[in-house]
Amino acid sequence: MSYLLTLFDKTPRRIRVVEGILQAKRTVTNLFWGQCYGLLPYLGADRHLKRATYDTWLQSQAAKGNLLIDQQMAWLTPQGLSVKQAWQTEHYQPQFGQWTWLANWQQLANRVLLALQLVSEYRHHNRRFAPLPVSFKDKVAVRQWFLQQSSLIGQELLKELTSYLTALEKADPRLADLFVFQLIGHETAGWTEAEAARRLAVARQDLFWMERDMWLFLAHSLWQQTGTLAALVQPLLAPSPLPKSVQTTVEAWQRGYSLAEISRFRHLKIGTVREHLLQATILVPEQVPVMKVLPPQIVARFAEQYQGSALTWQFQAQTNDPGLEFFYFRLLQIKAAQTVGKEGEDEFGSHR
Amino acid sequence: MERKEKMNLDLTASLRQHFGFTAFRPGQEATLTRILNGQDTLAILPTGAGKSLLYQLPAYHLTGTILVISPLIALMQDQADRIARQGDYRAVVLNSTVEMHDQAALLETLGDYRFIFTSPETLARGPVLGALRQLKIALLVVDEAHCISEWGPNFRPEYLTLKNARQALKPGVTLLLTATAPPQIAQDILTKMAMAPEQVATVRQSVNRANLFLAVHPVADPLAKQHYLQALLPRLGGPGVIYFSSRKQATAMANWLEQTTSLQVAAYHAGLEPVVRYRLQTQFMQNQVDVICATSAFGMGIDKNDIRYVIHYHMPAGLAAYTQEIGRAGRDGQPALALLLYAPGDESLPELLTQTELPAPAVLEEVMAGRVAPTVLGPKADVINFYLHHGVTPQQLQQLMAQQSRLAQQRINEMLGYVMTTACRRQYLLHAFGEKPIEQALCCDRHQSNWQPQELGLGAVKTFATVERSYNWRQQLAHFFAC
Ligand SMILES: [Zn+2]
Repeated sequence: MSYLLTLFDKTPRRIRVVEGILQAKRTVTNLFWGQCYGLLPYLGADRHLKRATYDTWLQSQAAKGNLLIDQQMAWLTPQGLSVKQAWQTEHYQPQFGQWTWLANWQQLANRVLLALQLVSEYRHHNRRFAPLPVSFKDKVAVRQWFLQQSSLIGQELLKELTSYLTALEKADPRLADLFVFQLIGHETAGWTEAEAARRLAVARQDLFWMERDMWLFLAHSLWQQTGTLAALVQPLLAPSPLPKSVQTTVEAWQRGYSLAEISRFRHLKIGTVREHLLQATILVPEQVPVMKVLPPQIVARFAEQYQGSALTWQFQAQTNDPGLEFFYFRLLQIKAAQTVGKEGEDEFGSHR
Repeated sequence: MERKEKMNLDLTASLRQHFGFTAFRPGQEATLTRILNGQDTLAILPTGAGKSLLYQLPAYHLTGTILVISPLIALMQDQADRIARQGDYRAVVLNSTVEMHDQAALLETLGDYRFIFTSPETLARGPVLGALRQLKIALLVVDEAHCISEWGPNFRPEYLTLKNARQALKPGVTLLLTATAPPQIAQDILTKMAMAPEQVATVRQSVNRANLFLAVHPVADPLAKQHYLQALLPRLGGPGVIYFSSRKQATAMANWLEQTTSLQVAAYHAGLEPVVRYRLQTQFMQNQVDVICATSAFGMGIDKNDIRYVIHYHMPAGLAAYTQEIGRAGRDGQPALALLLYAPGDESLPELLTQTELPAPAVLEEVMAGRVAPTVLGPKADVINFYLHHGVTPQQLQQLMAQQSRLAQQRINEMLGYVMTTACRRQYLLHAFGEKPIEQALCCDRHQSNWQPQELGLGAVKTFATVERSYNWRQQLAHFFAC
């Protein structure tokens, strides 16, 4: 749990946003503030995090004098800041969170581990082994994949994995070791957790982040590729940081339909369509030229009404359509934050 | 007579051919002979007797599906894995951990599997029973059969539905398996299954494990337990298991021992991801881990013969559970240690876990009428709810629950008696299970209060900790794929 402290800073952050990001709750509010805080690489990093666990942790940090909490906001005390900095120098720091949208890495890991186990046992001519207990769906996928492979499967995988691991080794040699020495196959069940921590000279709780990184790195290196492993995991890789429905809205909008028209033919509330566009503005800004949406007179009025850092703007409705007005407000705020904020910029799938 | 001898010969050959063993463990042959003669059988065999062989070997001699009912959902996968490891037959698990749409797909292909593992709850579901009725069930195995008895510590009301399931499935032969069942529970099992005692053969093995040295170590407080373990474990050699009653403590102690001793220690509990559990079990089997700090979830799936000690950090809730858990030590027949750590007041934890306040009759009426969710009934909600929906009145239920509380307290007292007894612990155990006394040289700490690991034949085995090989991912990967 101690890594949680690294997700806070001297300036107040919304505690529910930090929690929502970890749990992969993709509301516009979470994504917007998550981007401002530079936390989008942590999206879905702790899907099973429980509210009670999180709140207990917050209270314990407040009691220790590391964190101040007021009205759903939390920020680090000077002592908390030095604890955070000490943690950052002593522990492994996640490197590839920007690819978190590519896949649920734990499912990806289960599927790949089972496939590699199967091939390892096959190559050692052993048919008496217990397959890894992964979901039925993953078992079926692996079996179908395996049946389509040639007898050269071992050599092919060795080649593909060597090229992936060589790249990973350049990024961080510890990750390449960890990947190979956690494989389960013929007469090997990998390092124990303690052994891995000792050999790689990291703390045990760091292994989680290292594993996440090595699988995300693999997901990234297989994304939109062809090959033996790519064929296995392709169905698990997201084509874009945007959920499918959001993507559909954005594409329609790019083809020139108005939001009202999209709302009508997709049978979605206008609020939902606006949320889609806001999500896209946050996650793939280059696909959404915001200035095309915003009427110039609104931009001019907002420039007078809202000044200073975008993060401190307080929305105040001035028209009789506050929904639309808030949509404009949020769009402008996102844009302003993206140009000013260094932290969040280009962190999350805005490249490729 | 001639027929029986011929059968024995075949069985040993079959054992050698398919499993690579030359001799049966006690009770196995007697049980197998009866099953393969079509005789319904109740087998009461302490753990270590190789229960899974009793349904695995018949596969080679019977035609049809082998259906295994088990309450231990988390461990079913291990049992199926073991069959996969054996390599000749396909096995499948059907229970609440299998997602609904996966289950529907599975039901259509059930005929592809020789072994089907399921839980009583899943079996009771219409589509599942329907699909199974399409198959020819050669052998129905009821694992942990004592769960059907209200008199036992592990009573599960859903087991009461097995009687009907058996009648619907009409299996060729039925095998009831349990590790411990005193005579009155054995009888109750048959009654609840609606099986006539004269038509069921009973095979019973003694609970005594001659190669286990029994000991209790009293300490002043929990901290003293911790330091005692720290000093003792390096002298015991490995591998060993320490049982805890909470996941949190098992994990904390594993970390602490790992840091403060030179041993390889890992924590194991049902809260771990299945792949993590698989990895840990395999590492323990392959002697990469010296000590497992576990909850009671650990053990069933482990077929490890050379476990040298089983230590209980917390007192179990009864002798049945205790003998089952210590039975995992020394299956190879070599000396092993069963040690229980006791601090004053330890009995209050199992007491707390087993005693339940029965809700007021008014609340029961509300639940029965569906106006209140059964979850208000607390930790025993499943049991209470089952009764309420099977024609038991709130008043009868009050009596039943009160009686079960009394029985639970009795079992704890019996366990505490084992801790406190000033006489031989082995005789205490045997007496509790209605068996005759046995005298042996290495017996228990009541004969040998100042016991030392070496005198027990322990500690000779090197622990696995220290060998540091160099490693290289390229070599390892090439070896992994045999390239
Ligand atoms: Zn004795």
